[in-house]
Amino acid sequence: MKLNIGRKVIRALIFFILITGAMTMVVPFLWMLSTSLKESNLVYQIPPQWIPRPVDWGNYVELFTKSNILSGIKNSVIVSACVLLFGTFSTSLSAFAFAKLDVPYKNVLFFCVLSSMMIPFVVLLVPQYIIFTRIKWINTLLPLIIPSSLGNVSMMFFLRQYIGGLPTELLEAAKIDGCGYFRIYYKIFLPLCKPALISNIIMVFMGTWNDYLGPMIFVNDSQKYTLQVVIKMLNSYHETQTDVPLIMAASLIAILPILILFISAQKYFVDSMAITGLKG
Amino acid sequence: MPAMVQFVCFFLLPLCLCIFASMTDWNVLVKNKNFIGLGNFVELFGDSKFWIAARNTIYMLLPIPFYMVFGLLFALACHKEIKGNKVFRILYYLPYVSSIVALVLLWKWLFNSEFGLVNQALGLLGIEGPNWLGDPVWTKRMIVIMIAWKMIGITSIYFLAALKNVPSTYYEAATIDGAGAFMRFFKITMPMITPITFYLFCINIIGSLQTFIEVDLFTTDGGRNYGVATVIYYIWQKAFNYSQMGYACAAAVVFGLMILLVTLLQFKLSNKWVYEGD
Amino acid sequence: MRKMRKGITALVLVVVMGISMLAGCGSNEEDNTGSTEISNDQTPNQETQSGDTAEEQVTLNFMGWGNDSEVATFQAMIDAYEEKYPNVSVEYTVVPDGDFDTKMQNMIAAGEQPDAFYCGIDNVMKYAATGNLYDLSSYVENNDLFDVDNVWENAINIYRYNGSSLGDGPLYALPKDVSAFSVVYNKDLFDAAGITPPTEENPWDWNDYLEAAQKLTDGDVYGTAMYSMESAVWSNGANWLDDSLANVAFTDPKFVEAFQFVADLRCKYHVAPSSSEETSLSSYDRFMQGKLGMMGVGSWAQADLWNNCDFEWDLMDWPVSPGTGEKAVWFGSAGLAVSPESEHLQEACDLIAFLAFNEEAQRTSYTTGMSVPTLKDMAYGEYTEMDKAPANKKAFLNVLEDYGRLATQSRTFNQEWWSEFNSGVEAVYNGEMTAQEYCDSMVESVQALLNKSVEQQEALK
Repeated sequence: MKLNIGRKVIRALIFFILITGAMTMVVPFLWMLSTSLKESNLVYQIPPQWIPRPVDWGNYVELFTKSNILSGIKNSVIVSACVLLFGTFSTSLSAFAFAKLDVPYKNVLFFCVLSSMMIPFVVLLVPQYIIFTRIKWINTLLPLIIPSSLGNVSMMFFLRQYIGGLPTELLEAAKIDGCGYFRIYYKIFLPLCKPALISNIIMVFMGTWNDYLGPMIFVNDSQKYTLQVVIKMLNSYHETQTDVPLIMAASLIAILPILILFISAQKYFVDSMAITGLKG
Repeated sequence: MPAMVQFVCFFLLPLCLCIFASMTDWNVLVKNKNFIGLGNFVELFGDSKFWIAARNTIYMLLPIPFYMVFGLLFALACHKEIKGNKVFRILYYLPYVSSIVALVLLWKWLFNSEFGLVNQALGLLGIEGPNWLGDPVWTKRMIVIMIAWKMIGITSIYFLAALKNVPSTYYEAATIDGAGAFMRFFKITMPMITPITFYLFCINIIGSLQTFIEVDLFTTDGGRNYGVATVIYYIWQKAFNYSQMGYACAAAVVFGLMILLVTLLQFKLSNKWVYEGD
Repeated sequence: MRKMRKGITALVLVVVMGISMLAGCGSNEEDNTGSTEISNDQTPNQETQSGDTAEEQVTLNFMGWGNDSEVATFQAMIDAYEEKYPNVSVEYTVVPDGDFDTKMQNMIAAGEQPDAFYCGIDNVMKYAATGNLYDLSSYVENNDLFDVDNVWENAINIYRYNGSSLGDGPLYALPKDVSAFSVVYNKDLFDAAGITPPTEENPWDWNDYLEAAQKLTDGDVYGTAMYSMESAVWSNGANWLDDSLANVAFTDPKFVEAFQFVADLRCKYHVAPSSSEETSLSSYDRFMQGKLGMMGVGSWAQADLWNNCDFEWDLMDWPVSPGTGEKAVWFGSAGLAVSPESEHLQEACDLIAFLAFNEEAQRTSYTTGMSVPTLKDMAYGEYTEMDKAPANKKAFLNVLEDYGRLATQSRTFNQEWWSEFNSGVEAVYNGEMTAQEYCDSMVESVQALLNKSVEQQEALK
């Protein structure tokens, strides 16, 4: 009985801390939401007005009628979908190889690949631009899709760590059963990696979705701009003030797809409980 | 392997160009460049601004332990199936997904020294809030707080994935052996999640050392006395504002090597504490 | 230990691969230099040739920045241009202004620059000296789209570069717009404080300005925003650099005096918002809320002032220095330029001339409050007669016609020394240092960066 009460207190305490944390995360976003419905001269009013009077839907209307936001969303979806589909496959395959196969110089190779994260992107921009020009990829979505589809270093590293933690006996057992490496990867390791993959898919999606510099530099045609470039265009009023409500409205729209993906991925976190039971 | 194709075409090739360029006086606007040997490197080591930027960059490592610990705690709480944990997860994830432009506008408003919520709250406690946006020391602290705040959610997602990967049979066995909750945590959970912890350390250190966009958006010219500028910001300015691409490449090579060393060291040390599977 | 050796092998491997690849890249570089040797005096021959084959369908790439209304205006002008020259079609790219230069540099590095593009005044020297701007001199003399004498002389001349300094020599860009910087004041606050604004014949000097600011400052209302350093320094007969633009000159007592005057408004007389107040609510916003008496304002802000001020406002000329009786301030401009690599130079030149001086477009831009006309007859005619605030539009025009100057940092090859000088000025504004101490402390580091700028420029000759 006593134990139970102690546990309840602890639970309540944890709950309280979580709520406080959640508040600090949420309040700013409520501000974003309320700001996106305000007229711009009311944004910095003191004390802040949480429920805007009047509620002004004009920012959203303006967004959809005046800017390229629809084509921006379309392009971002194309790029992100391609990267997710091909990138996840190729990355998880390489991660599997790095973690479980006997490739010569595997660790050295891995470190080389990892080192590509360390050189500041700033100085690689111009060389990359020159390469993309030579192969005529400028002003297409290809520079945004192909390189990331061939593999994402951070994700590869993560999966390598993760797969490394899975029992090697599985691999050996499957080999004895006469499975090829690809089959082992596909039938055994891929399903086992599901929770890790899901969290990484969200990461990669977000990275691609929120990427700004690449699309801005490599694409010229405003019809091919991705969502982030469209948002940044809204912010680029020369010398005059920024239209804060408009940007908040656009940012909220930009967050939505990631949130939807995240919410729909939630159930996989729970699902994976069953899978882990299989080992041991 | 496709990853290798990507590596060679889109990274190695540019990198070589960059290493070559670091020994020239390359200006992007001019077609030909002159070989000047190690001149750029000599100049770099003598440039006080570079060292100021380097110090500021190291400062950006501060939030890592903070959000790693809180991320883990949060993941543990969610793992325990606390009521409403799904909702919490979404809420904690919010900061990470929103576009940085919007976040910065938001923080400028929150940390406004006269009217911002933060200083008003501090005022209620009888503390006079600092000039967050004007004083470089406080701007740096603000950026650190912002990064920590933003990263807790995503870090916990990684930990959560790792926690799910710990076979429940281990716990059952331990419970039968009479191990308490703390015992179970330190003897089973901790070792089992070390690979992910190691990963997070490596990636986050590399990421933090490359902090750039916050500096660009919060300050003009790196803040008063260059007090907020990071190395990447420094390189960016040199490359595109002051047309010294060759010099920027040299700085990038030096900085890249530094990160490489740090990461190598981490890999070396990793044998000591990272659980490598059976 | 074995791992270590592996690491070294890998490094060696990377380096070897790198070197072999460089061989390839290196030869490409050479190809480029051969084919793209640029001479500034490309013969007009080529132009007439492309003019002759006018029937041929031509596509021009044009890149700029701007907010929605500017983009809309330009799109309309481009449509008009395409109507006038049916054989030309224009592909118009808009890039956020903060990233424009980065993108442009990438394009130039890859040899893919647009035929015509915006060129901010700070970049004119950098781009011209590196051969990335087409010399428009002969085009301007022989064109039938506009009369060069009807354009503000100041605004045209800043786009001339003779290889060592701006101001004369071949013309490299046409002014897309001009922005004059003048002093705006809140008429209602002036009336309440019983202040009579100065007239053109009888301008204020610094002391009059300070006195007015002191009268205006009351409670949460401030008299003035931070005063323009340029105006103070130049009107006092000083400058950041000497005439050769190769040596710092800010230890000149006249400079220090002007600097101290600017700082004292804030830290001694408290008639301007403090720096922390400034970061929480900019002087511009304070003014718009009716809580600030006077501030420097650019002609680009007219639209905002029209739409969002619920008080009367007007302009005055910048105060003169009590020492010299002179007034001075800067003016800005963004240019339109043509790439010498363009295959359709004539059409590209026509395009930028059309965009820069099209009367209809100029009219749109001043009626929407974006800028002051670049054409003099229009500025003195319909703009001055326009029935909208400010009443004293001449204050803007005086800057352009008479006492406006190009900012010092725009006249050097790069602006790093300028950032360095400004990196710590807050200390003076806050009263932590005197202007004298600050200037003395900055000489060495600013001079070093200036030397580097000069060195870069010399290397390109």
